[in-house]
Amino acid sequence: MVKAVGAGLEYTSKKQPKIGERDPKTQQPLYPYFPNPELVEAVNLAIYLERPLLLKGEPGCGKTQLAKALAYELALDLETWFVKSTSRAKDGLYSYDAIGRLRDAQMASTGRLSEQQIERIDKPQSYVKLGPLGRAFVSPKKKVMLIDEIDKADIDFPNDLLLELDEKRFVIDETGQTIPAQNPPIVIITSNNEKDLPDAFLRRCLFYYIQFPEKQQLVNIVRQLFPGSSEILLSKATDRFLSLRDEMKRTTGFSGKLASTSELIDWIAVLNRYPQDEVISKLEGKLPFPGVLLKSWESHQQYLKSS
Amino acid sequence: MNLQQDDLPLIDLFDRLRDAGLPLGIGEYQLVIKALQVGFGIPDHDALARLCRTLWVKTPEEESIFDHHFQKLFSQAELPQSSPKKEIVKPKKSLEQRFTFLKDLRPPERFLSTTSLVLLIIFLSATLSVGWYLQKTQRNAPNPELVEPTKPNLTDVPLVEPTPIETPETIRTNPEQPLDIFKVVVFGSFLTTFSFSGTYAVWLLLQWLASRRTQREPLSPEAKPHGGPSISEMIQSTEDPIQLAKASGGGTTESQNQSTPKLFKPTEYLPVTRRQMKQSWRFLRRPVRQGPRTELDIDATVEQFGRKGSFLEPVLVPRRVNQTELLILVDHDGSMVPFHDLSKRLVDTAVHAGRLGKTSLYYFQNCPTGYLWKDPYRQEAQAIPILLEQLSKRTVVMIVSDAGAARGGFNQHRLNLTIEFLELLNNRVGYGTWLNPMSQERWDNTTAASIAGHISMFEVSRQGFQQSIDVLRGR
Repeated sequence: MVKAVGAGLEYTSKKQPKIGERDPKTQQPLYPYFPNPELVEAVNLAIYLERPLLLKGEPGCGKTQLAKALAYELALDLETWFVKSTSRAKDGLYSYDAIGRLRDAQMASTGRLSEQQIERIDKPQSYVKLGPLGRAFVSPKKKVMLIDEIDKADIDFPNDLLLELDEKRFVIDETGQTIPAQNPPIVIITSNNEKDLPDAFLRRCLFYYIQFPEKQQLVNIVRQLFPGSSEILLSKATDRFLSLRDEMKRTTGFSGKLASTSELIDWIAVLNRYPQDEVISKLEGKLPFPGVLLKSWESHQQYLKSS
Repeated sequence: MNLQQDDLPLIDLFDRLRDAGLPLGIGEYQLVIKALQVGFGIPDHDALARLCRTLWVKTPEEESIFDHHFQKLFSQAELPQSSPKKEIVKPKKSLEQRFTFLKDLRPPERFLSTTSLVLLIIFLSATLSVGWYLQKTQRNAPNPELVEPTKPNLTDVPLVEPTPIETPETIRTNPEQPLDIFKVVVFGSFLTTFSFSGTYAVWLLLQWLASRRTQREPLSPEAKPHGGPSISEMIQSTEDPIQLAKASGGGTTESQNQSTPKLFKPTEYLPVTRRQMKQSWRFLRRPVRQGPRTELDIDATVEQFGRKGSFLEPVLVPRRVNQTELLILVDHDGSMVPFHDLSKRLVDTAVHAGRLGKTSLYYFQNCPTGYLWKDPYRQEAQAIPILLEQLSKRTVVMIVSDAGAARGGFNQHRLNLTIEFLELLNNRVGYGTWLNPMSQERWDNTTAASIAGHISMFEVSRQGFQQSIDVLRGR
């Protein structure tokens, strides 16, 4: 692997959580993540050059998981910003509670507040609440920042973030403060490719397209995630999945939705609940539990016609 | 193979990618150098390719362009290793190269060039042989005349007297011989020089044609993503739109003078790039506050507080939504076949990157009458009156068609049908505009010029497209 000089932080994807391990803060279960070596290289490049990494790929290929795995291995906190269609760039940095201030002013005029609280009203900083990116900038320790599904928002949204990504600082309009990043976070941005992103924004990011894993890698992923299952079951299930995927590619082309890695994992998790022999014999015949892999009526029809 | 940093032709690659239209700046180049200094990209070609791809390539279309240029550069970069051999081979290669252009020509041109060369050679040899023959016959004729007067000179004793009488005769016949020979020689030399200059001119023409063909290298970003077509297919496809626009004057006037690169001639017709189209579409905005009240209006809240004296609740307003409803009618097939790429690009950018409220798309052929079709192959029809029912005064219409300007000529029937349709539209929709892929000079004396009287018609150039958007906005 390539060594990143200076920054000291290097992602190798060797440190993986064990099955059953939970995140200490959120108590969410943690899963191991097996990225492509090229993706690891791209991540290290982004860390060294201090540029955001833009990830694109099929839905379910593991874009969001990468940030979690990265934070786990480097033992850094993860800040996530799940962008919505109504999001504005400012909301990720900070939000100013104008209504709260107005309410407090009204309460002060009616004399319902103490001296201390009235002093607080005079300082606008007390009404500034930092958003995920703001918190990542302010924190003295380096953090991993995930901006998820950036293409959901308005087209001007990525452009509004250019100053923050470039110069690693932001300005709070209401107080006039400029807040520089103490320790610039590692920024991972994911996009579902629903809308085009503006060129000025793309120029500042590094780009990586997560391909669907090769068969060997797929088998490896499944084996690590389900250590209890037998080899035969896993390999048969993977083969069936890959042949289904090839068929879907042939019939719908590249525009349709293909069964993804996360669906495969869900499917095998379901298959594991049943006795092994039954499942293996089912795999040879009709596809068991098609609802986990096929998500549209057309694909069900096409699939049922062929088997 | 271990690469030394100095040998790497990164500047070349960088320049070629920039010329191909990738938006790269000095900052991006410096990033690559910075990464190289630390150790990324050094182990082998693949690592270097991955490094450059991560930093410079942002879309799948750019990736195919990058792969092509990288492969080309790195197959050439292996030559420096065999430098002593190269010097010996050089002169031979140049001769070979001079003849290999013939192979680059396509069969019809090759046939034409070889026949013309053969004809010239035949002509040349014919003239020479005719000249030689003429020369020979004229030499035989004066010989007996030369012999006869000499004989009486020899027999007579008084040498002086007869000779002056007879030399004028010889002098009379002699001048004719040099004159004839002279004429033939002049004629022959004229013909030889003419034929040589002709062959040389043909040679230059062929070289120019061949060089034009080999220099069509920059690829178009329109190549399909996701493991798209092979490199050879892409080379035959349309050229890079950004470079095209630069050379055809689609951008600023300054860039027109600077960017006339040798490897590109403006012969294709895609004058508006994808990016320019997207930017123009974004101007077509009618932001109207619509939907659930989610946004806080601070000014209104403060004002309400001031009026009522107490703070009851915040004033919320709905978000702005782009309420533009666009109807695009595209003429497909027939005279519009050469413009399929252009209309497809228009439609793609409008639907995906335009961020318009609602975009409806219909196809027709030649002129919209009776039915419009939802797909370009005219399988799903929709009757025009039913379609018009669904439109409102807020809808804006853009028609993309050559209106008869591609084939030229004036067709009264087509004009009538089109005017009928336009009148129907006028009653139902807001603004309408017509985009004509043919340039404005070609509209005269065709149906297009008459239609242009009934609806604002613009040619497809940066300015024309922008003006049509302005019309749709109501300016």
